[in-house]
Amino acid sequence: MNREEHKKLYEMNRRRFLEMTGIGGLAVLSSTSLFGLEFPGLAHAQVAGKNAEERAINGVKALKSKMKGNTLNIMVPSGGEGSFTAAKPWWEKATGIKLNIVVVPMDQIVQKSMNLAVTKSSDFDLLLPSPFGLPDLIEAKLALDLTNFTKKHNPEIAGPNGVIPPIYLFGMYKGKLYGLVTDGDVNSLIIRRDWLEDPNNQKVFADKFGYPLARPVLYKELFDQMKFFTNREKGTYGAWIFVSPFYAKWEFLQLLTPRGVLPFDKDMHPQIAGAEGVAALEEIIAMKPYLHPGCSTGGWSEQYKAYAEGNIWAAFAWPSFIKYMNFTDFSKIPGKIAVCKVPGMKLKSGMILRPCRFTFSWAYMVSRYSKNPEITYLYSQWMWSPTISIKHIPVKGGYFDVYRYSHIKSDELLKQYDPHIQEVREALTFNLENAYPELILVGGDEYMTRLDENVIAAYQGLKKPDKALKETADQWEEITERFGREKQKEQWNFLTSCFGANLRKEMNLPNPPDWVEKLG
Amino acid sequence: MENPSTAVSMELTKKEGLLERLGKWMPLSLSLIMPVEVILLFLLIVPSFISIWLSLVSWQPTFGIGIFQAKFIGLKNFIDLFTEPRFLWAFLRTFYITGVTVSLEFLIGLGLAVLVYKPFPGRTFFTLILILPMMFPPLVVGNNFYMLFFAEGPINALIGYVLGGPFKFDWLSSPSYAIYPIMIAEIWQWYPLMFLIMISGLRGLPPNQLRAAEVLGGSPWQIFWRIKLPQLKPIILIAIVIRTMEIIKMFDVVYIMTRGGPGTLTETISIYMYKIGLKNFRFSYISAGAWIVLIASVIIFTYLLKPLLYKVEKFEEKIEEGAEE
Amino acid sequence: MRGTRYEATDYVRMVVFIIITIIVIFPAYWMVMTAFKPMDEWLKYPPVWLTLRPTLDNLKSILGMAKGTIINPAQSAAGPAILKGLFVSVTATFISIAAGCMAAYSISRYQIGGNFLPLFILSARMFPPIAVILPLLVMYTWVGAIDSYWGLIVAYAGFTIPFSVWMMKSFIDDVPKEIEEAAVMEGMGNFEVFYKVTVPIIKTGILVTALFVFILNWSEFLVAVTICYQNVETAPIFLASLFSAVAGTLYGHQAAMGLIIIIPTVVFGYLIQKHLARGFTFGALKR
Repeated sequence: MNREEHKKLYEMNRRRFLEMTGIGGLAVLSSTSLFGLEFPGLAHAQVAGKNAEERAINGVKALKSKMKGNTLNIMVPSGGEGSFTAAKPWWEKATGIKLNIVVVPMDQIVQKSMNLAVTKSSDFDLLLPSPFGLPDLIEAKLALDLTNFTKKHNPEIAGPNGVIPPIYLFGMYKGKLYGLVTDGDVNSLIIRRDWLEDPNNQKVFADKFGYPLARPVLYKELFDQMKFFTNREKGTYGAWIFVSPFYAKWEFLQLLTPRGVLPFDKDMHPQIAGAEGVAALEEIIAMKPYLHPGCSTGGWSEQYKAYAEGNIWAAFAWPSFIKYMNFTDFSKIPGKIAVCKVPGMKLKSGMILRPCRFTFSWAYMVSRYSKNPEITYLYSQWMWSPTISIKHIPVKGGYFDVYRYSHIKSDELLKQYDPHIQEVREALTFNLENAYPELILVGGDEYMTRLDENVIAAYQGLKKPDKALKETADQWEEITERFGREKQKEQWNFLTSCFGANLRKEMNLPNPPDWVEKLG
Repeated sequence: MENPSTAVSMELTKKEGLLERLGKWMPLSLSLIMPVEVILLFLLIVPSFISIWLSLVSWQPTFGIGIFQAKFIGLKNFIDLFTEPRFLWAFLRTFYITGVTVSLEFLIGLGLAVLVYKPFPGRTFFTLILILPMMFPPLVVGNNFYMLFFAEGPINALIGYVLGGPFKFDWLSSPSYAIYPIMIAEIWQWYPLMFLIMISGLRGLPPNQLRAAEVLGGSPWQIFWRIKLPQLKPIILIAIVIRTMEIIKMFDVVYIMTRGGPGTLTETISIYMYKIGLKNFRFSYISAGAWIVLIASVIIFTYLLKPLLYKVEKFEEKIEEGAEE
Repeated sequence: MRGTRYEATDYVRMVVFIIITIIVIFPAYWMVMTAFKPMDEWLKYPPVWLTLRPTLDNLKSILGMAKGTIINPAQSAAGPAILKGLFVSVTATFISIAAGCMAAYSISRYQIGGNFLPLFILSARMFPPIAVILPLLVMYTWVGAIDSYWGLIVAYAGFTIPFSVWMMKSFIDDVPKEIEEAAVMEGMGNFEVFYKVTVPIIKTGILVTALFVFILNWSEFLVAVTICYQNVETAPIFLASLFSAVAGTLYGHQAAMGLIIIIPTVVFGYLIQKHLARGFTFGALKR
């Protein structure tokens, strides 16, 4: 090659690079305005099928010919893939569509999902974020609005086998449905049945506190019981209640809400720094002598292990906790726990408010950039349907807990948790129906982290409670301003309609949109 | 060497390699540096421009708009950072850790190198073993030290033996002491680098001067302080610069051991940026932070390296003069 | 140096070194122990100094050879991650060294870019990687390099080039120019001088630099985890995934993986150990 050809080659390469950059830039600019086409408002004839599962399969069959490629790519948090791998052969047999299940470590899921949003990549069709992470993904234009698909295919949200309200509401944002909440992660109260029923305990407790030892209805009763059962020399503790990073914030909200106070008011101004907030925080600090020492650092696996040792009276824990406490190869106390409805507090009106925290959990979310959005949705409807979900929930190595009435009614399913089926049924139903959401807002993690840090600081004695909450409130205001108060108000006011029906009545909260019930 | 001229590149026509052909319209000096330039262009320049843009606008993916449609806010991110106590603390903390860790690594490395200088039984074996920590990936080191400093872990058990009673101090959640296990982990992992550098530096010293000094009756101590050490200065400087550059970015060890906790009390710059950037998606803010760190680093290192660029020549002259005497 | 006579002080130094070695090696010993401990002993109190029930379960689990239980789930095998990681690291190291060497020669002999270019290259390494990641991500998506081998290789090569350039520049500075001038006078082209004369002389330095660059690439985590999803996996990515929902961090498995991870580096180090200590004058001293 002589000099001239060299020059041409160099020019060509340079031009191509610039082209790529130009195209790249154009792509970024244009794709912000262009995204997956939706078909608004077309009359939706209900797809044939007598239940959600059938409708899903029929829907897939109708669309299969137009499908791009033959695989759905699913991002699953590690530890939760059990249900997916179990159901995979059933799906592939029924539809012939392949599933590529990619397992991602839990602490990378948020990052990787947001990367998809930034790069507008079609690499994944279905993701499994937590409901509190949904708003971020929705605002980042990754989550697909599933409202129309739901109306078209009817995944049995309402009805006798329906999802226990208000759980499914946590997958909605500003009234539209973006996520199918597929895990009933309420935090029930667990206590030691054998210690409860021990006549000696009952006698000494009644003598000391003046009322019988029973499943606590009020928090004050629980605190008394915690005091009673703490004996540091013997090595027994009143409770494992999390005050560790990431968990402490939930504890604060759990003691604030029964006082009838919401974290924000109608204009998104924080209400946590008022008298009730300070009282709640002081209650947490007062718990310290009666908590297991691991509470300030341990996460849920530490809680599970510690409680399984058998020297703690109470814990607030997710449903899977119940299962583990009854595994003989894990726990020293199988069969010895009692699952209870969460305690509450008495309002001035005399009503006892018993809200139950619903934290973490998982929801099916379809990516806006998926090449086969409707088929992906149908896969999640299929997984979510009463008939299929009841088969894959009990699989070991999955994360999902009961969330439908049909699950709760099943003796088979509940037996996997605890032999005392009726008690578990009552407790879980009560707790699920009285659930309230965490801060499911854009920037939710920021709000929660600020609260978390300040609660822990107060607990460790590094800040005074009122100062800690005031600083949190200020930081919350800054976050709200950054995202836009009006935008946050819209979602917050919608979120207040997502509380359980009882709670809405007692706290005077609005009702959620009713199009879901109308689906039947 | 004279500057490459066309005369030199003419020489290349003698053989017909690819680079020779390239060299026809590009002097050798340029073509040698081309690959690096291309890679760095791709990897450094373009992301830097994007990063500069990000730092001057207000953008988060959760705003729902494209990167290049974000609102321009000029230096607001930078100003916010300078008034954000958490960032400033992370900044100071990082430099504090850097200062302490690098100094200790250096002293340990130097000390060991001196000890190893004269032969003793098993020297090769011990040298090899002492280099080992450097070869562990930071993730593994972090995990390891996390386990060691656990409240009920081996280190506390050892301290317990010494003190005569159980010692269950929770290092990693202690507000005032959590930073020490982190520093110990870093020092453990990287002192071998200093060790190796010092060994080779000591071995590279011109023997004539040293022998002359011995003959003239200098004690080993004097020889060390007044002859060896000054000549090692340039090496020491580069070693410190390289090590400092790396430790400012330290992430893995801190993340695994404390996640920046308790609270934010062991947050280094990288951890802070990780939390705010990758967890809260405030990429604009973080880009501005990164530029602040970069500018600070460049200033410090240029200042540190300047004497090096000069002194090298001066020392060369001194050594030659010394050798001639 | 066999046959040297050791004095008393030499033996004293040996003892000192034995003590130092014990202190230094203790953490590594702990890791080895943990790799072979059964799960209940990982964090037991009082600590288990020497396990009486050594088990290969952790190792087998990560190599994909053991069946998982719910408490101790078997992870996907480490094999692919190790091989892919090796491939990426070795290739990237090679590119980094090759390009870096040439650039270092140019800087050293031709002073290209004056004082600015070398410092500019060095400053590439001062940028906190967290902040580079997002622009890198955006750029990579434009060119389709996400989750691709070449994407990761180029990134690794690029990030270690400053290191390569600076280290090798100092080795090249050490080489007396007279040797090169002599070769030119014998009729060699400049580039030939470079790879036939200079490079062999600084072989030691190249190997040492290669070792460090390899270590950096092999243990790099942040960029890899951001860019890769499923196709490309490196050893640190696999290591970070060793976490079970119930048992928490799988310390034993991670320790076992850690042992596997250091093998390539140790092997490499051993192969060049005679060169290791000779390498670091950084052009600051001349014989």
